[in-house]
Amino acid sequence: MTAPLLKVEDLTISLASDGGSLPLVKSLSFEIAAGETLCLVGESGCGKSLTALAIIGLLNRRIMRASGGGIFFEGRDLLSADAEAMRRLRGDRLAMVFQEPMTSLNPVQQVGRQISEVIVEHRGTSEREAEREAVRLLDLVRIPDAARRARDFPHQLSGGMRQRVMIAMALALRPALLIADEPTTALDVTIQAQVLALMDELRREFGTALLLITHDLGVVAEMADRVLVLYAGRAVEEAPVEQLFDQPTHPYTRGLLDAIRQLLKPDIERLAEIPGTVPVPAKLDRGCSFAERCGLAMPICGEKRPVLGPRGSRHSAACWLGHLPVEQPA
Amino acid sequence: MTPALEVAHLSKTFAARRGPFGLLGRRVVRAVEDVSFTVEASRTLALVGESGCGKTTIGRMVVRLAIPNAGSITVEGEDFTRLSGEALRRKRQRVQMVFQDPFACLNARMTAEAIVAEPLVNFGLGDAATRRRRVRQLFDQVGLPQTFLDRLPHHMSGGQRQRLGIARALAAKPAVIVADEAVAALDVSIRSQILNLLKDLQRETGVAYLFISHDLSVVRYLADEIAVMYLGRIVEKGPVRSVFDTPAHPYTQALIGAIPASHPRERRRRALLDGEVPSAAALPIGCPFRTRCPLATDICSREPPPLVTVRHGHAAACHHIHANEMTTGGTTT
Repeated sequence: MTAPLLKVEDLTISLASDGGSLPLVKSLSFEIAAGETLCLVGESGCGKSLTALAIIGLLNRRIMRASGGGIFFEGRDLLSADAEAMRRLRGDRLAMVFQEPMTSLNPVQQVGRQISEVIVEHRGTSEREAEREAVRLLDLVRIPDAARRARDFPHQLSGGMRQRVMIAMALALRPALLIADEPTTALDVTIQAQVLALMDELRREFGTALLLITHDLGVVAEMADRVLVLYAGRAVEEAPVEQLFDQPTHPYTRGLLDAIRQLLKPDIERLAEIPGTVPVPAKLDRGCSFAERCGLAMPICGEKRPVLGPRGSRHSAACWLGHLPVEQPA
Repeated sequence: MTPALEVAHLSKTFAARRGPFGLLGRRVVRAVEDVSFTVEASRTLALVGESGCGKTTIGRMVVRLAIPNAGSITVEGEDFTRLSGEALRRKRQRVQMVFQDPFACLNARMTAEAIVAEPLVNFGLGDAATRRRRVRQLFDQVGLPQTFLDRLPHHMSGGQRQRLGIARALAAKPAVIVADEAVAALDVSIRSQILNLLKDLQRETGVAYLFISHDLSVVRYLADEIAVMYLGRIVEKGPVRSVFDTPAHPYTQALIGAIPASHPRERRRRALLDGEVPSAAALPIGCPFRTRCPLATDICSREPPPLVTVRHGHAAACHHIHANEMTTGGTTT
């Protein structure tokens, strides 16, 4: 078996505070194979963005600490890599697209220059050559009239076009792994559909692996090969995408899936709710973090934390209810 | 019965400065153009469309945060746009608003109780004791525990703040609530709670909702009727079931087609809408949608299509409705 492209092992990310440290991502492990799309799904505060920032080395080191077994990318441990090594990897083998392109682009530099800069910096090509490549990339992400648009500043572009520029920049050096954190959340639905289709097409063409972070299970259904569901900083379920949608086993995953499926059913009278809210991060957590919102909780759930256990081929869940009968959607 | 809200031929233009420091003069942005709709008591009309389609501007005009250039807004039989002074103030009580970001619209220094009581104080409803009772009753109604009465908004979660915003909107017993992207900022698990709450409250109070949203799946659950907007105009409206099952306008069809799949097996290599919404300051002549429309022909660049009835209570503004329905009608689900 070949080694995975990315292997995250027992990753813990803590917020350093006066009274010690507060863990926000807890003992997270997952892998991504070359060319694969893994979706990290969860709601606000579940730790999905922190995980992405830890991988790409952009955690605010003054307040955040990443520790644990390691983040192995193409065989090297990013957790112990120094700042210069990370700087050389970023934009080259590893790239990231953020939710709000306006805050990730330099507002006072033409977008074409922002792309060519990456190429010059990492590849040492001539400015002219890099600029031609930037126009070619803008054309590739279907920005109309790319040569002219390359001279635009970010504020002259629409939100959808700005996100295309970010994608062009991220893919400029054909990275092995693209991390996209809610890349279409700020976009209108018709533009979201365009950008998702574009990302999927480019990913296939370049063989790029994609770590896609989203709260939207619709986006997951469209894009994922495999899915990792996070709740309150921990992995609660992991499965190939069809398996997850067909046979979700964790009550939280099932609640999330119900929330989107019911909306699309005509004439539904009342939506099933997940009661309560996500717990506030605590120094010590006893038992299952989802127990207080779970309709199926048992006494053990409040006392002992369930670990990820197998639920089928490449499918695992962290729940004391080992083999729940699964209700199939009608 | 008099409808709770009736909007007729509503238009709004803004003057936008052109060039650096407005040196090139001004041009007119037509944000809303000849929009009409009716919402009965206990009913929900959803206004849907993408950024810049004018849906928020309509909501703001209905609560009178913006003044229309033309048209009327009739609340329980009285034209809101013709009122002023004390009569306007009294009428305003009948129309309340829930915003997208409950944090941005709640005074961070006021307690939850004071926030919900504020409309009662402003409209001079009841004495202090009555107001105290009413606030506690509202907390129960929206599912906030009484222990939250003296909390500040930043000690509450997003879902709890939205419940607080809804309690405030309900306080003065309005006939109409304008909800502008009221569940857009909420997590999925909280969104279902708030949608259920909005439905329950409508059943209990008979309030009419003007529900503004970009999210069609939410609209399908909550709304009775839907009006789809594009560049300031309503391009299609009708009963929610009819519009979803048999959308007549190519833009509505594209919007429905752009809803992400609910199962990976339904991944569609569907026809995507090309291009982006043109600027409202440089509207295409004729049909505003023609620059992105797969069906556009000569007539579309000459004449704006009128809103015509396609079936009972369901209308669309497209020159090619009939041709379009023959090719796609009945195949959409």
